[in-house]
Amino acid sequence: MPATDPLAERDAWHLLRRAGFGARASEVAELAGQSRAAAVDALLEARASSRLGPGGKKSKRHTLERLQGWWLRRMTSPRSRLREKMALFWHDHFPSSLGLVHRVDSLAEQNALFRLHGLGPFRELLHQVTRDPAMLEYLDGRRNRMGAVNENYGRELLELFALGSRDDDGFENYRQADVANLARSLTGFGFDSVGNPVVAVSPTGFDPSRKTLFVGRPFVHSGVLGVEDSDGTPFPASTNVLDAVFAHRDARGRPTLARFLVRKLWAWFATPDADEAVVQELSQVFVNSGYVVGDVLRALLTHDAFYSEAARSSTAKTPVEFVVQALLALDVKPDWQRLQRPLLRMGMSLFEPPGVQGWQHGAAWLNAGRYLTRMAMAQAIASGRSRDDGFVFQPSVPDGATPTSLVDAAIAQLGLEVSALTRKRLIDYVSGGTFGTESWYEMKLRGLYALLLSLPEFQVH
Amino acid sequence: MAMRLSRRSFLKGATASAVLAGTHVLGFASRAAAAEPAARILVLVDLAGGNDFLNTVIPRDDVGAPQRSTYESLRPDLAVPLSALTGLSVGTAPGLGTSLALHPSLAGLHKLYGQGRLAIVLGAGLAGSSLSHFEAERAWFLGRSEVRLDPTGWVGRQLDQSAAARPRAVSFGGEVSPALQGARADALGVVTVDTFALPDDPLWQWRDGLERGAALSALLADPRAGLAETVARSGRLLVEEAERLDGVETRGWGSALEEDTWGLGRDLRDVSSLVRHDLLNPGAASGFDFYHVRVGGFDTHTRQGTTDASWGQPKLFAQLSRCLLGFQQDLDAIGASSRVVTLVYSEFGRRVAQTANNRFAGTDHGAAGGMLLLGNPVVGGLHGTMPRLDQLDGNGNLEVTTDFRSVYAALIDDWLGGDHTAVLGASFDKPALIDG
Repeated sequence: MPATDPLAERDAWHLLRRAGFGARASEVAELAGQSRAAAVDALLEARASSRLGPGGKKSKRHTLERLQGWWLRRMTSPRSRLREKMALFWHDHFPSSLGLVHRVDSLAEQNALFRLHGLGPFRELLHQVTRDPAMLEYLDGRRNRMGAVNENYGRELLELFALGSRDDDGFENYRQADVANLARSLTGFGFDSVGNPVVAVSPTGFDPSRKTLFVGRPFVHSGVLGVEDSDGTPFPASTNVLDAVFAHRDARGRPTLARFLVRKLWAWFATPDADEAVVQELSQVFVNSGYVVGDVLRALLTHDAFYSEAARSSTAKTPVEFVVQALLALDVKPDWQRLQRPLLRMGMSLFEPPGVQGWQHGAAWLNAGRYLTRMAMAQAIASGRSRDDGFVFQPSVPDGATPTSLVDAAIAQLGLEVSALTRKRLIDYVSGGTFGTESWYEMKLRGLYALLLSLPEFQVH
Repeated sequence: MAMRLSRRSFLKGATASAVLAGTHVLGFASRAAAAEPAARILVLVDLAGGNDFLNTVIPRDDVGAPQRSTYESLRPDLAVPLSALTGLSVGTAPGLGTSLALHPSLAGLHKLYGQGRLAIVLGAGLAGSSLSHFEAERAWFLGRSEVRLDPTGWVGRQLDQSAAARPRAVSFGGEVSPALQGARADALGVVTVDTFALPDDPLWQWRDGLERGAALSALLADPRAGLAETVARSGRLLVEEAERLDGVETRGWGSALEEDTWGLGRDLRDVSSLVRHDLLNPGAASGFDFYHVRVGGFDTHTRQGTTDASWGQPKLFAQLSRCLLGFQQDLDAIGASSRVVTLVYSEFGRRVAQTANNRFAGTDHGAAGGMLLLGNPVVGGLHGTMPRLDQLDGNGNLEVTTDFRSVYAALIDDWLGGDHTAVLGASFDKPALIDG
């Protein structure tokens, strides 16, 4: 059955969960009835922002917690939700962690980069990330110099950030020689003489010899390949190694980078696996737009397949989505900074991704041990008085309420879809005890929310 | 003050309520069929990032090939000096005759070597692999060179060979290692044994913990489809396993790793605690026989370090050596050393030439590395052929001389009593690594 355009209420929930971090039910009701295009345009219209979170030169946990809290709070803002969702996508795509970067201010600046360029041309973002202090530290770009080549960033640029190691048919997209030559083309980036993260290419660190990239491919690039001069002037496209990466075509002549990113965006926003037709269509949009991320997102978020039944509840919420969605829907305003510890337990401390591949998504978020940590969080939120996390949550009981009306209201508040059997169990549960008494309120009504937030249905979206 | 509700009473409550309601709400097989303590246990230790094996087992001379001189010339800032290798000899490389020694931070492993409880497999890897972490890890986890089609891990396929109702494999650190993923067999992801417990705060009881636990168990058993059902299945597993793991003592029983509060030491203490628990409770054993732990930080493109054990690879080695020795001592103390084999592996070795020519020196991704097997059942000593440093491959890497899958084959056939051809999908010449 084709989804409706304009948006039904459940379409609006779907859109705001995926393109943002959920919403209050009242907001969802307002969005329902609008056309897909209007709703998505409104999400995309959020002004570009270079807002910079709090930082510090040192590697201090307390400073990191402030930065995390600052970012989490921004995720709840209706005006910036898609921009922050993309910032999170880019943080996962281009990871950097405090353990290797050591400076919270560099992580804050990288985060601001994702906020500023996250919806714009990917070519610009890739250039900025390549010369970003946190990334230069995280993947050793600042130690990659002529005569002492370090392949770390170059390899991951090809494999994880731009092309993928193989195409759909299993053919290698590049060889070790390409990694080595790309790394030589990226030599010279460094900090100032006293090690402050003021980035420039050093004339003595850059390898000015001739390099060849992608031998045996339709677009062989050869010459004194590089990224930018020591005064910051970008190399022209003919010798710019980043343009060479954009020009890469797979064994069937298709745009490798566009297909790679479209698949990843589709998995992040829609479903883990994309149909070939969708990949083709969206990668064409991406290429035609000049690789503007916002343009491919517009096509993605208005696509029939995005609203298909197969896409609903097909991805696991990340811990950040789980927490922010719950707190938004329940209108709980926590001390955001103190969410660092629970997020760490759930496996997703921001600015501390587990490795250069980012976080492991899908069912991996919800293996038995991890699911337990979410149940603990569900209880902490529902209890409404966690000393650790500063939640204040007081569900209201309107006049004339019954167990059935309260369960239905709570399900609607969270935008859940549950089976009749599950609904009945929840009503039975709330019907226990003496309705309306304080002990009933503390046990059964709070218990209802702990159960709802623990349900498998709330872990997926 | 509110009474504290233990995990056990929470779950007992859940079960009791289910019985009263006259339905089998937990929706899975009865736990009446208690497991036996496992007779043969395999512990996998993954050194994530690609451990530089050339600075793990180090050439001391040029006998057979210019091993030491090439090592020193390609690694002016990384070569471990001969003076630091005194008393750490592990003999001479089979065939070649080059004298080899363990890194000075691996003194604990050298002690096990002297006791015949450490086997070193030289030149292990997968020939012709790309130098990607992720492709290499996948090959090692899955035990296949072609990893695109079948996502099951090599241990998972071994587990699939016998139908067990309950998970026999545990992965520490929060993620389930792909090595343990079977087509049918469940594997348990555990952050730590102590935290594998349902919420248990002082408010829980008067907040209706028992009835809510029963409701939760029932809700997890409701029919579902798709990803939500996968999650629900994980939830049912955790309710079941949290009860099984309740009462496992992880502290205070005299573990050599008692003081370790994080990382490898804590994970290995959890393993020895579970093994001990099983031996002490043969009627209510966990029955686990595969454990996977992962320790990161080995991707040393820069700042690899040479001998200073306060940073870099030497620091990781000091921790590794202390924890593996402590684990082996735990097994001795609880009478389990004949039951456990530990395999230490990493997705690849590293480039022979160093990166930066200064104190920031490190190494890029390489090809051949090596594997370590520990335990009373292993045939201690050097196995395999050491790659020659004067005959590197086209990328400046050590040639693979031992297919890592042949070591898996030896473990499957000679330790686990399985059939390696069925599990690995190919037949390998096995090194003699397990005492017959």
